[in-house]
Amino acid sequence: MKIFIHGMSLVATFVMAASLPAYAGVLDDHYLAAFGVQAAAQTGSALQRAVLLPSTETGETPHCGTPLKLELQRDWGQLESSTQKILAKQLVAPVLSGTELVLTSPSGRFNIHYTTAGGDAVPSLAWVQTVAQTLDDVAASYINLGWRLAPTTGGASYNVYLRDLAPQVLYGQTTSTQSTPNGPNSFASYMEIDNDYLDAVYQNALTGSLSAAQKALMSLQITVAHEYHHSIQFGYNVNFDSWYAEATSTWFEDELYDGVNQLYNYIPAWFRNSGLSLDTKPSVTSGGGYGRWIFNRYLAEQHGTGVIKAAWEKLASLNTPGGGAQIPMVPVLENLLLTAPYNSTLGTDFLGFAKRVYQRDWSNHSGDISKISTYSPVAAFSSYPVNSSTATSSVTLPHHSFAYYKFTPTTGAPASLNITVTGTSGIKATAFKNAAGSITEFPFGSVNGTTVTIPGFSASSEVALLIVNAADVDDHRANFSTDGSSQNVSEPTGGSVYAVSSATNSGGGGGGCFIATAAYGSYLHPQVQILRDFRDHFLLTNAPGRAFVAFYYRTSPPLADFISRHELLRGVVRAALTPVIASVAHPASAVIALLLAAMVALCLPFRRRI
Amino acid sequence: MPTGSTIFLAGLLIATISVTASALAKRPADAWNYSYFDGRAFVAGQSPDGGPFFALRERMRPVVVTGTAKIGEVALPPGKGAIAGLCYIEQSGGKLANVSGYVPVPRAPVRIFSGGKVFAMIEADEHGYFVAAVTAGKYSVFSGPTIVEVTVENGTTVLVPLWTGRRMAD
Repeated sequence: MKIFIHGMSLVATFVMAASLPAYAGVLDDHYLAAFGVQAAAQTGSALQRAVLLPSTETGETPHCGTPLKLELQRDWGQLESSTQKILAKQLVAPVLSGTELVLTSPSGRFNIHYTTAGGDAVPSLAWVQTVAQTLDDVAASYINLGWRLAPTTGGASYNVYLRDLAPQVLYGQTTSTQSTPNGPNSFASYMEIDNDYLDAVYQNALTGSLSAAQKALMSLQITVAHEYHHSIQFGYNVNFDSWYAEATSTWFEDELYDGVNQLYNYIPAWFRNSGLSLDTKPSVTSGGGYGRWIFNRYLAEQHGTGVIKAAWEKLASLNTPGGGAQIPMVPVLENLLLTAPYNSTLGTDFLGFAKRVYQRDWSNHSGDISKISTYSPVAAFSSYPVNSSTATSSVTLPHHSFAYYKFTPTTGAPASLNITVTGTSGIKATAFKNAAGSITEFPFGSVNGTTVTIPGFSASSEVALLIVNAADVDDHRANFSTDGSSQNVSEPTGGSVYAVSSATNSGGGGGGCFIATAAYGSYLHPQVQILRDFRDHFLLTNAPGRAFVAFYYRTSPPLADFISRHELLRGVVRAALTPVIASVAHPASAVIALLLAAMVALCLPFRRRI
Repeated sequence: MPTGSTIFLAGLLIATISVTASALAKRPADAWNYSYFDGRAFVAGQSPDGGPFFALRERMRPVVVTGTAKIGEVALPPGKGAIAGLCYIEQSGGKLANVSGYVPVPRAPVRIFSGGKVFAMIEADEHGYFVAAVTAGKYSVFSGPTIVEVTVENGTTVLVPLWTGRRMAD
């Protein structure tokens, strides 16, 4: 009997071992054949196909002609990594107007998908080669600057599609696809850029006596620099704050292609709307997002260009509040700037930036300073005194915003200008005297009805008063006068605009089990879900559990990154996690198994002694 | 002193008002309600831009309304509710024109988990909308990176917007 059971166990093990690779092979072959990557080989039984390609929900109306791509997306985690690498582009493939052709860039990093027919047709193969080389150049620049390149599914080449985007009035667009094991919120992506940049919408955006071909090349260069940084951003953390994503991508246009200078066009809108917060959502009308690139230049001049990358690296470790909510970047910058080697605050740097807007003492790209628009005053005064009876002598500012006021000397103006400022706790103020281009600052140490005297006003070109809300609280207020009078101001009633979102960024609630995700290849794998449920419903309900989760989130990402890049290690970790997951999923069975194991362990020595 | 006919008329009036009030109170449960996605959440009403929206009614399977065709009534099986929603990509930006908004994801795969196990695998329709009839209970609804925990009650529909990714336009 004992021999029979032993024999049956061996047979069962053999059958299982023989069957599993067959199942795996069927799925890979099915998709490879379906996408025409290899000759169709319809192998496997009906039972195998039924198991591996489950139908839609029982009781739901079946969708006829389900696109194969979606089936592929559904079964992605069950495919071999070599198959994933081959089929990666099929997951997300914009459809071109003609037969799709592919050119791989010289470095092999990019696959450029193009067509020679229909609206998406490229002007020439030489143009596609130019696109490929530009992509390689941009990627090399980002590598030199220490950035991690955009992750791709299965390590395949990054997909770029050349399409006619002029009807959509777009230079390019970058779309996230699926999560990668590189981080808790790291996503792969693909890029679409215009097929030729010869349409008027692009040509008219660049001024100067340039040929159409030159303008097209310049448009291509800044678009690739811009969009590929979005791809990198998706790899760092898909839940980035839009305004800072655009500010960073736009800033890099000039860091990589200094000669194009189209980005200076976005600054005036911000300065005209300086009363809007730093993190105003992207809009070329308001200056939100795109125009904020100049703040990155200020940060880079103050702290080195590495500060921008450090900000994105800090963001990479943060979890989203969930549901696609963006992680506010202002608190990220604030926390970063507080640390060494920066030893600053966002408020200090924002005040410094607002001053530089007037002083124009930029140190980088000095040949282009004239392209930065001048300050835009909220109001200009030429008759005195200015006091509470003057309509524009008070202001209420949202967080991280500023307002300039201009005082011009006219006949009868006082020889010295006394400016008195009263403001709430978040308000900072300073004044500048411009005498024939020579600018002198007259700072306000405080704004509690404080008066600053500016001598030689009548002989100056102008005096500018800068009022800044340097806090992360909306509705800080200030008023000013030139006759020493002041009005009381009341502190804003609200607290930090980021108080709630910062509290939700502390992990859990939708974050990843990094090591399990790396091992199983997908955040959505049912085994990973079991561990996530265990975290949310057990670990996070008690203090020791929360401490463990916090420790795990601090230490596991680098380990997960290493595991994800080694197939053998992924298998080992999956094997190691199996009993853990089984215990979590079936705690009662696990307890019984442990008790049995303990009994066997106790009995064996006893039996040996007998 | 009121006459008998006055008392009768007063009683009739009160009865009429009561019946009308009762009928009005019952109306929301018996009539279709509408809900559309405004870019962040489902809100009451029909889509202002003429796009698809949900028609909802107690004990009825939710319907994705895409035109002017009459809304078909399909009763939910006894003991069941529904999970319905939209899979979308958030879009932001635009250097030459503002194109911020959202883009539906047609045929997006949606997985519904219950107790850590796959309960159903469905896919969104050509407009990105999905509907699943489920037994009353707690579920996790997945699509892309998003997980939404929902509690479905007998005869009711829970609407779930599923953010599946982002597109940076320019």
